[in-house]
Amino acid sequence: MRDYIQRVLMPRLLIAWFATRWPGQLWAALLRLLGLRAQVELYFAFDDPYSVVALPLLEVASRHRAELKLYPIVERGMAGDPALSQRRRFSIKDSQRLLQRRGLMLKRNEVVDPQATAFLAEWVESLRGQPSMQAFAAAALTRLWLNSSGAIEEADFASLFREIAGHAPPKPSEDIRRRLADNHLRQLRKGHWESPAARVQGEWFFAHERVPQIEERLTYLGW
Amino acid sequence: MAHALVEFFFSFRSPYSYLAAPRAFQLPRRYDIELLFRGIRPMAMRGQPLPLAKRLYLLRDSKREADRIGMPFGKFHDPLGEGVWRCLTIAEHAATVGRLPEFVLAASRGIWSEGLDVASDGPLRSLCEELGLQWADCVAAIANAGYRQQVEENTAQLSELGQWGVPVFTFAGEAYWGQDRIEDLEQALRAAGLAKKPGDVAATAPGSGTR
Repeated sequence: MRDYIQRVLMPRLLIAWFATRWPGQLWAALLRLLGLRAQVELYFAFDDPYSVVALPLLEVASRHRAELKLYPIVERGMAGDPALSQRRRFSIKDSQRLLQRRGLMLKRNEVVDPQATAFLAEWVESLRGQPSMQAFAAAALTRLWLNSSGAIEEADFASLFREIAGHAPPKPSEDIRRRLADNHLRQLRKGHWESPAARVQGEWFFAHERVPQIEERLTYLGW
Repeated sequence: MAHALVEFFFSFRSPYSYLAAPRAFQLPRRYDIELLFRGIRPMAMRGQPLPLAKRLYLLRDSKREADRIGMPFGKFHDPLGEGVWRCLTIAEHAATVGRLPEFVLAASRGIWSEGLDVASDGPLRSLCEELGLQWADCVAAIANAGYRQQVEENTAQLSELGQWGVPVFTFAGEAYWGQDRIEDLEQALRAAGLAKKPGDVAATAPGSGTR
């Protein structure tokens, strides 16, 4: 009996539930009646080239008037996963191909140490609640992966930060680091583990390869 | 003339492998290539962690992708364990009698959309016989240590490529991971001048160019 539940019943029930759209549509309609917008959360890491591939999500969210919340992360992946380092290596080549479809090129062609870009995650997190958060995150990802290579220098990004945020980047602080760790914990708690991951009205997508599907979800929910 | 080689790493327990298979087996019809099928053991039989969050994501995303490309999906019967081994070894046998695409497509469709219990003799035998495979040969294949060894070698080769999930395609030293990366593989095949002319495509029998 237990074998049947595990092999047959549970997966079929889950798949059937995943395919059921009306509860989400009903909930979305109710939220719209209350004047609320669609909620999209994007968890992304600067050391992950897939994050720059996911940038069209920003346009999609804006087109559907969704409320997009950014959650920069430094730690990512599942504990003890042997595929983690393989994924890091492969993501360079794969991102190159995904960008090529849009006529873009990855200029940085080597695996990046998460600690080398942690300052960017901290700077983005420091802008939480400010309109410049999204603009700086997109500009920094673009500069990092599409327009630069070699050593990653804070000074190169500080001028970009000043230009967009209108003030100097924050000094490193325990508070911001803790908030970044909380972002990843929040992501794990909600059911995802990697970058770039988008939670669109309660449903997860890998944001670098599912932007059209994200747009489809927002559309069928009525946003 | 020797054809360019494209390897196709496949697991019967991978929903994305199931979604990729029909397009994969069409590749030799449209390109001057030989498609080499490499059946492998699934992640759960390779000691790779598959936490609940990842399992749920894979199921949800596979369902979305199946709907997008118009493939039936959802009436699943998990073949983990002996069911997987039976399919992998019969696939090796099917390749020797020229029925590999037919078997892989029918068995994976059975597992992922028809609730076929491939660990039981009855349903698997019916499926094999419908495809023209002799059941006695399939039983012999299941017990064939050489076929199991081939699967182990395929699995080791995937790991040597630095890959962990399936489906994976290789061509000209490059790996393409994912059912949604077949278009990138095709781009590379076209760039290598391997696209067939429309007349040649029509003249190529389904299933040819595959082993």
